[in-house]
Amino acid sequence: MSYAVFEPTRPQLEWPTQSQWSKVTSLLFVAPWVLDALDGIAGLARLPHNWDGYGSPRVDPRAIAAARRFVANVAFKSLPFPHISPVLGGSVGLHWRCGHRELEFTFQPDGAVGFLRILGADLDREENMEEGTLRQEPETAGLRLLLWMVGAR
Amino acid sequence: MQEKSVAAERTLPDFDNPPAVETLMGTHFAPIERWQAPHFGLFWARIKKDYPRVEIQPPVIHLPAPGLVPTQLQSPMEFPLRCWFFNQDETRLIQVQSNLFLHNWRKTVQTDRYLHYDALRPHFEKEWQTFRGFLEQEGLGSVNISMCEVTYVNHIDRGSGWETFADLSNVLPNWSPSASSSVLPPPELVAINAAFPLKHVEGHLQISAQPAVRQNDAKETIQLTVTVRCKPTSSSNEEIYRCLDEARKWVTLGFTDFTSRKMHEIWGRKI
Repeated sequence: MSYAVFEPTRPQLEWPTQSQWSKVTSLLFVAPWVLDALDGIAGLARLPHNWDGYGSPRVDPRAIAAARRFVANVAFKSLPFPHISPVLGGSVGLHWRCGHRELEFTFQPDGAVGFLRILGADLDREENMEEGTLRQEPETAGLRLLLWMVGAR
Repeated sequence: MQEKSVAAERTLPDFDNPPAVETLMGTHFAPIERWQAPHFGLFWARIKKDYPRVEIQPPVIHLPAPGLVPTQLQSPMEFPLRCWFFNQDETRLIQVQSNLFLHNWRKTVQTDRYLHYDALRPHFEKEWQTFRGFLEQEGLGSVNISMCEVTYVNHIDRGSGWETFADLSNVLPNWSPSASSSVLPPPELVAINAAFPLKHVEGHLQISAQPAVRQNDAKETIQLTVTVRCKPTSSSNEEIYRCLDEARKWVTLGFTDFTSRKMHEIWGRKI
């Protein structure tokens, strides 16, 4: 049994938990890298002040928590492993590439999630890039972007 | 709402810090024939003061448990949806569809106090009576109850009694880590589904253990879901409450029997 009507790819537990309210992602139905990615994001907390040699602050725990929540929500099976990186200002970056399509998310300490969507190798063409900010329910909006990237939408 | 006096007479296993993050109790019944989509809104109007937010959900569809005939959506006029009505602080939820009525409670943060069944059942009684009154006043007839259900959802987080799935027998003694030979390495993931017939009750207990990541804090956990569905002898409120009490008893006994004494110590077993 799945919730195919409303959430076509978000991994959910199988029956008998249809009536469950608290949300979990089943590790039986997600990308196999999800635990490694969660550990990798948590590991950014160990970076010291000035990790880049240019005076950057430490990665903010709120940004780390937001990036981990995001991965736990969207790690569907066909999604490739993301590149995980610290970003200036205490943020966390996640970068996915699938063929010519790329997506970058930046999780900021204030809860905002910036995204950059790239379609095609020719970055001089303006229509090949789109950027914006996800403020409400970033997991749902981010999932839509990731589905676009893997070609499901 | 105060816990009933039965709380002072607890004889079932009890824990200071149980891993329950959500409980639900409720009834399944034959589809209400004249139930249509507008009835969700009419019912919401009755409870909106206490349950101000609503969400539409896809319907629950049951696979039959052994020996129990589920109530299925049958009429082509039935609208296949379910509504969730949330209370103000989003700790309680009413789920309604044309063949079920459920009341959920959940922990919203890890520091929340676990709310005992004795404290939750009066909430269920109040909302259930409101629902029955609504059906009567709207001329939708009476309900023919097929099953009563109690479910406890438990989260046993990594680091609390287990580190890898090779440790699973420390949590669930029914799981054995031994094998016929030593070909396979320790398991990376394990999921268990088990069903048990109940003694002296027409019903079944189901236990599901699944590896999961909690979405609100990305913590790795084993979700242990314990469900009892049993058949009441009538559709009277008294019989429904008796049946729910019986279901809750078996959920508690089943959970305690299925988990290890080591974990009981971690959860602070009192009885």
